[in-house]
Amino acid sequence: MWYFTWILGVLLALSFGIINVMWLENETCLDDETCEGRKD
Amino acid sequence: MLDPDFVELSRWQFAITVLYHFIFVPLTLGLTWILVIMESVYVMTGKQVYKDMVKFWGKLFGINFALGVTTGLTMEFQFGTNWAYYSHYVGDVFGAPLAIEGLMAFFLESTFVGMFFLGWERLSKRQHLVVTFLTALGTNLSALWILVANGWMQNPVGAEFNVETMRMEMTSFAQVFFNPVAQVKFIHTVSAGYVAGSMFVAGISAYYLLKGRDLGFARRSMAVALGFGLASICSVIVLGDESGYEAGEVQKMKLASIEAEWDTEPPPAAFTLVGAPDREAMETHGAIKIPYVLGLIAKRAIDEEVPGIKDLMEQNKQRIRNGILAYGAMQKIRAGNASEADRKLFEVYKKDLGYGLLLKRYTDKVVDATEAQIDQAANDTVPGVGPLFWSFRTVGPHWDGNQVWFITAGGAVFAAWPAVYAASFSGFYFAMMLVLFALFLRPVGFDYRSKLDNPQWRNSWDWGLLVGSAVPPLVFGIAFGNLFQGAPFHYDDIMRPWYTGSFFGLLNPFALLVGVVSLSMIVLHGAAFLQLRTEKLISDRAQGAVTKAGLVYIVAFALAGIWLALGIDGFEIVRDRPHGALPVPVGKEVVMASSAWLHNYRQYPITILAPLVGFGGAVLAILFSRAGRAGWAFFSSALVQLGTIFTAGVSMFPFVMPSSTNPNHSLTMWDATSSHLTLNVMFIAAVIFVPIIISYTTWNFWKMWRVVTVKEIEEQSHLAY
Repeated sequence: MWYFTWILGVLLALSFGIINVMWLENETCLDDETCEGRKD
Repeated sequence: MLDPDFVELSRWQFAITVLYHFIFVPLTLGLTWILVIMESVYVMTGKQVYKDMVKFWGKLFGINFALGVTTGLTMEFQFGTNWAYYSHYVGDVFGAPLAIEGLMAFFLESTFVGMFFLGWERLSKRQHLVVTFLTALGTNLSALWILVANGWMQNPVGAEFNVETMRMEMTSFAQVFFNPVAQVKFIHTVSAGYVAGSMFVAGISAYYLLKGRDLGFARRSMAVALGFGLASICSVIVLGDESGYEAGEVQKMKLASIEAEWDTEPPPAAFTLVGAPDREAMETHGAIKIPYVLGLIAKRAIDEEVPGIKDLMEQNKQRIRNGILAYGAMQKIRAGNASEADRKLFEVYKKDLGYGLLLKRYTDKVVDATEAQIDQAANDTVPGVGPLFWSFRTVGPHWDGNQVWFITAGGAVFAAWPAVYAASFSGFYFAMMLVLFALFLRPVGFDYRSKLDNPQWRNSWDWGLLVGSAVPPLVFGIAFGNLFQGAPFHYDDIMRPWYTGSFFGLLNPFALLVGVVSLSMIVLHGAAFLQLRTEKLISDRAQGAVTKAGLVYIVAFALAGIWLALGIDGFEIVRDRPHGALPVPVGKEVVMASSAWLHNYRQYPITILAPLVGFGGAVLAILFSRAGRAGWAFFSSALVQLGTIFTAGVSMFPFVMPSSTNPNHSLTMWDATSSHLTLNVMFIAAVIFVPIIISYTTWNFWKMWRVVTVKEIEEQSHLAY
């Protein structure tokens, strides 16, 4: 039942994207004003 | 007989459209989900940079979306214009997914894509995220339904040939929808689109990083694209394997041609990496082969053989001979002088009838085919090995998604009256092309007119929009004017529609008059809407337009009515098919008689309301508009549309497309329909989706409704798409 796989798969892929960018947001200093004292 | 060059040109035209279409579509499939990711993060973190990202990538999505819509519309037209007999023959199965695509997906995406661009100020963050999500869902559901249609072409399950209607008819909607090929193709194609979208975003972000521009923006975009892209690539790999396996199961000839595998070789089957396939000699020169690989692709095994082209051709020759038997039996059945043995013979061989029909190209009778002709037809069952072989070695992952996603304004007609779709699009070829080219200008025009801050640019696009919006109602009016007079077409013995008229024949005085009715009716409606939605200056000009268009409409509508009553011969059924008979449009007796189009008004006097509503609505629209009651004027002008369209319908009922060359072949509402099952499926789809569509379009209007002011337009000049 591949259609069902698609529903799960696209949600998984979306969460991959969200987690990846949130992780980046958390780990790195992306904008000067938002990371007081932290280093990249 | 069809000119082979003509067929070849039609193929080229369709192929070029498909290729062009598929440049834009995969990008939009992936970009929409990337927008959903970015906006989800925006809702969660509230950081402005994510909103900027959604807007930036959203703009690029919009450009691709408009071009995807435009090229998709073209393909839909081409089903009717280029492949009329195809539409007729399989419309019963093929039309339903297209129509459901329209109901389920196209309404969704086209409603929400507008809110996506213009709704930032009017919707809460969460509401806007829902809108973005629904746009993405709509885009992907489009891909779903078109690939269900495409999957059926590759592996025709859930359908059976009906000898009386001379076409394929659906026997199980579930089988068509859950077709294994359709499932695999759908996920493989959309995943490939996700990868394309991710690569697009990653590529542009990488360029920004290299240039050292907007680093925060570029790194975040990159992170989104890589996360989403990685998951999608895994999906492409898994489904690619599944796709190859399905092709090995159900499309052996296609697979053998792609691999240029002329002879069945003993297992393990080797994969030809490169080589020069030679169709004449039936061998591949200078082939470099990788052992085991083809077996793994097609059979997931190294001990099974993959049949080669030559063996498959031999099998096909036998199927062509069976097809000849089936064709002969079928002709007897259709002529009504078949014995029990003939019917049995047909049942046994009918799955090979299509192979027999390949001979139509060489001999019209089919049953008298010579050995040489059978060889020729068997040769036709082998696709172009060279082009297939090479295209698969250059375009890689997009190999199967050749017909993703197109729109279905005519989808419902296709599903409900495939015969009408086939006959009208091919018959009114140049008129339809004119409409199509005009329609090109609309999505592209709306999307592009504000992209450059240059009055000349904007002005040209506005002219384009004017043409794009005026030509279709004019041409549809002209087409209707011709329907009243009957169109010159007839069917041959295998129910192929043949059209014998010309484009300039369409431009007769009566048809042009109906064109004026149609155009003035649309202008009236547009002007009334503008008066309602705008302020003073524009509103006053709109009021003038309502009056003028209304007067033109009243005069033209009255003249057309008088002309139709006195000067045009109508059609009348004198002997109909028995009640409940299968839908075959050639089984009745029809005569042309003067003033026959007034028949329904005499028989059902209540129907005279239709033209009265048309006239009355126009008078009221003018009066309300002049009194400054814009809302009522718009309502009255809506009545005009209703009255006019009903007038046309009532006059012609039950005819949909009468034939002037052979009135007996006229298409009516009853005998040009799809099978019972397809109509049922469409009914259920409509019952489910129409209320959903109405509720979300209402929400859309409610959220976006306001009087447009000059100040607002100046503020939003760049926001508007």
